[in-house]
Amino acid sequence: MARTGSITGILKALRQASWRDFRSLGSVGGQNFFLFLLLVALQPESAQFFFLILALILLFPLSADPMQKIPADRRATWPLRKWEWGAIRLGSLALSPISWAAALLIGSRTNWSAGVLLLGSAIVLQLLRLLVKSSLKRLPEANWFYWIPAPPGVIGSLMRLQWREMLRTLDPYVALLLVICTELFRLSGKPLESAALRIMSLVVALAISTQTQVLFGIDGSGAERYRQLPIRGWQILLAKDLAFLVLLGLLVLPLDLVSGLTAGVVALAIGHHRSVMNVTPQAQWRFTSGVIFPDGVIQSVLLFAAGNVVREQGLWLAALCVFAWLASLLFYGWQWDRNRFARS
Amino acid sequence: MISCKDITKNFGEFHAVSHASFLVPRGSICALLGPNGAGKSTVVKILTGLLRATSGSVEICGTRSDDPALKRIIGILPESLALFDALTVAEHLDLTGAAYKLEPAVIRERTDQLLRVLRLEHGRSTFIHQCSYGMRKKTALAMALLPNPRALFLDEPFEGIDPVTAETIRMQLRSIARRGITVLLTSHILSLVDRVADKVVMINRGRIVFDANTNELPDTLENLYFEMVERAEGEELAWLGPEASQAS
Repeated sequence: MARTGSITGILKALRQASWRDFRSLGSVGGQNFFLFLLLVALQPESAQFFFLILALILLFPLSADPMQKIPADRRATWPLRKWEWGAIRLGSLALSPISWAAALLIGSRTNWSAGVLLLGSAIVLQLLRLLVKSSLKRLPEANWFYWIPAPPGVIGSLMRLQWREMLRTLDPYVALLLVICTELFRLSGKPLESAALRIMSLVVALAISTQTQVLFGIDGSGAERYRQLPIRGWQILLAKDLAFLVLLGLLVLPLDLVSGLTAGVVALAIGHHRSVMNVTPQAQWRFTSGVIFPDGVIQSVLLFAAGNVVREQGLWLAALCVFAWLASLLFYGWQWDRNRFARS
Repeated sequence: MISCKDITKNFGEFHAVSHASFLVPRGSICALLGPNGAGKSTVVKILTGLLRATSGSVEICGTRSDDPALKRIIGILPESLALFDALTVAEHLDLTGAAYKLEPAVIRERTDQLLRVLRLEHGRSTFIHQCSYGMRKKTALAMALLPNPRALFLDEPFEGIDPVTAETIRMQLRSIARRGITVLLTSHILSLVDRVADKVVMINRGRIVFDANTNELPDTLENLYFEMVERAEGEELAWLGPEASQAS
């Protein structure tokens, strides 16, 4: 009895940890891209593609092995027999959302091949993850984050930090997948409407625009360091903004650079308010989560509006957007300096 | 010099610090002692300008704690360490040097030396999220020292690090103080405090309960601490079974 008690006790703890982890994926609900998905869902045939992109990215965190939640060192100290660990391992599989989805698909018979494919993809992703983890343990320099260069000066050091932090969230990977799919479509030789590249460039900007609402949230406990260093608020914001614009620029380069960057500066001009006045901590390897109403809605509408007409309206609109961004940067940089005292 | 006059900090109804006053002369090391939650970290945050006192005044080397220029003359090892997961050990020092506008060559030279002294060379390219607690603490300490500050504020510098490094830090702090830098530290390791500090200030429930130079202590630091701050409670855990002498 005591033996099965230890198995159920551990499985119960694993269930709680897995549930907490699963709920953290709800951060997608605070995404501007999610807002976009809700809108395109009104036209189901167009929505399928975007939902598929989101599902592909979510497959990474969803396929995580629940057993990994018990640290290996801790596992080694618990006095459990092999068969008990075997039972826990089997029980833990039922805690994975991928197992539920795969079981449902396989059970439905009509979609059993999709279920097998889902399960197979999750296992392959797990194996890849373990492989990468063990290689990085042996050779830390193999981590590609290590090779992200820093431009000179303190702004450059902060830009490198911001790039790495942005790339530790899921947002840029949705954007990257959108760009890759668009380019593959172009390469296939199928006809593409003239406005399609501009629209895709705006969707890419939208996919990473929530980052502008949480510029300090992705710093984790390091955010406190900014208050200890002799750096002005506008310098920190400038570094974070430039990092965002460079990443966005690289993503939209094959699509429509001008429209994408215009949308980016608009997103930043609006996002500064939430970033500075209400720092919300973000989790790594999850979607960044901002505020949909009103910030996200305003950002999405204005970035689409400005990005969509900038080519027709010409330089004056681009200049106006840049001016608004700079004004916002200086104002919220000043706000940051004013609020330099920690809250606790 | 660190001058703290009648500072009070309230969080709503809770009095975190009440009318605390003390003085740390230039070039000396002061240890601020007290149990967890006594208000030590709050005092350090107020002194370093990271938290605004409800009342009272603070001056560090002639600069008021609400003056933004304060950041240029102090070095801080904060309680939370305040490090970025996405930077390596050496990159943290690069960032600090750049923020203090040091020349790249100076940053490189000081970084190499600090990593050597703190026995952190092997981890220079390790990302912070992969570092042990001791390595993180040493990184935060190196960041505090790199800009050559006039006053140093170290929140628990000896906790969680190996004895050799703790002794190295102790020696470095003595050397730093001889060069005229004022140091204020908090710690729970009384044996080390006894050997490093010139002055001891004890705080309990937000109030200063003891303030003296270490060469004038009427008793051992440990006895004084138990007398002034709190006594150890020795509740028996009976479910561990009888003691060996009783069992036999």
